[in-house]
Amino acid sequence: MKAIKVIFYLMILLMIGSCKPFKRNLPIGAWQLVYAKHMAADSVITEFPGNIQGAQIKIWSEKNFFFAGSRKVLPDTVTEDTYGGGTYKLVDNKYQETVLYHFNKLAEHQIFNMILEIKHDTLTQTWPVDQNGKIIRANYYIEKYVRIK
Amino acid sequence: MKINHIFYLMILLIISSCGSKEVKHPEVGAWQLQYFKRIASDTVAFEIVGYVTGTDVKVWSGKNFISVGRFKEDSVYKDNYAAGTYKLNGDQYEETILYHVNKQYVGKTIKMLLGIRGDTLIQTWPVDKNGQIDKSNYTIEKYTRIK
Repeated sequence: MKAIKVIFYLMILLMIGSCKPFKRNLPIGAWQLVYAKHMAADSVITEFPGNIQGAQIKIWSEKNFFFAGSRKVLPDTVTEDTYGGGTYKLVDNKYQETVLYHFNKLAEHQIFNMILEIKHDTLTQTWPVDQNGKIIRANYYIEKYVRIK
Repeated sequence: MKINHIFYLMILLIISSCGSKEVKHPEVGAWQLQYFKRIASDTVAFEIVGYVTGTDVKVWSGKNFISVGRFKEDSVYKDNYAAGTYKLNGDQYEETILYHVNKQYVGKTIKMLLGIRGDTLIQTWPVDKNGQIDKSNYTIEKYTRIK
C-alpha cells in the first residue's frame, strides 16, 4: 500500500513537471485585426473600421511577432500593404516590441513600449506608454485583435 | 481495484495533456531563412546566399503564415513579405496567398513540399498534382528554427 502511494505521488509530480508551462497570457498564435484607432489631442485621427479600410493579421511566436495586411486611408484611394516584424518581451501586461522590419521605415529599429491585454479571444495593444506603464493620452494608438481559430 | 483505475487514468492524462500540439504541428513557430534558390530553365535565377544578400523570417501558427524580410540585389534593398493560410498533410503543403510583395501571387494557391528535420525546414515548390518537382523550374527555401 505504501509503495502504491509513492507511485501515486510520483506520477502527480511527473504530470506537473513534464508538461510545458501553461502560457495563459502569451499571445502565441494568429490574430485578426478587428479595431484600430489613433487618438491625438482627444481627436480621432484614424479609425478602423472607419476612415481606414482593409484587413491585417498578426502572428506571435515565442519571441517574435509578424503582421501583414493591406489598408486604404480615406479619402485616399491608394491601397498600401502593411507588413512588419521583430522581437517582443511581455511581462504581465507590459509589452515591448523591437521592430526589425516595417513598411514604415521610420519604425524600424525602434522599441515601442505598450500595454498588451488578452481577455478570452480578444487581444488589445495600446501604445505608447510611459515608464510607469501609463498610456500617453496626448497621442496614442489602440489595436484590437481576435484570435483566428 | 479503484487504485488501478486511478493509476491508468493518470497515465492517460499524462499522455494526452502534454506536448501533443507540437507533434501535430512541427512547423508552428518562427523560422529564419538560411538559403533560397530559384531555378528557372535549369539556370539559377535567384540565390541567397549568392549574388543576393539579405534575410527573411517566417512564422507559422497552425493555419496562417507570415514571412517578412529584406534582400539586397545590385545594391538595391527590396522588402519581401507574404501572408496567408496553409494546409499541411504529411509533406504535402499548400499556401493560399492573401498578401504578397508580388501582386501576381495574391489569391493564388501554391502546392509545395515541406519537410522538417530537427530544426531545419525545407520548402520546395511548385509541385504538380502528384507532388513532383520540375527540376528545371523550382524554388527551394531552407529555414532554421528561431529559439
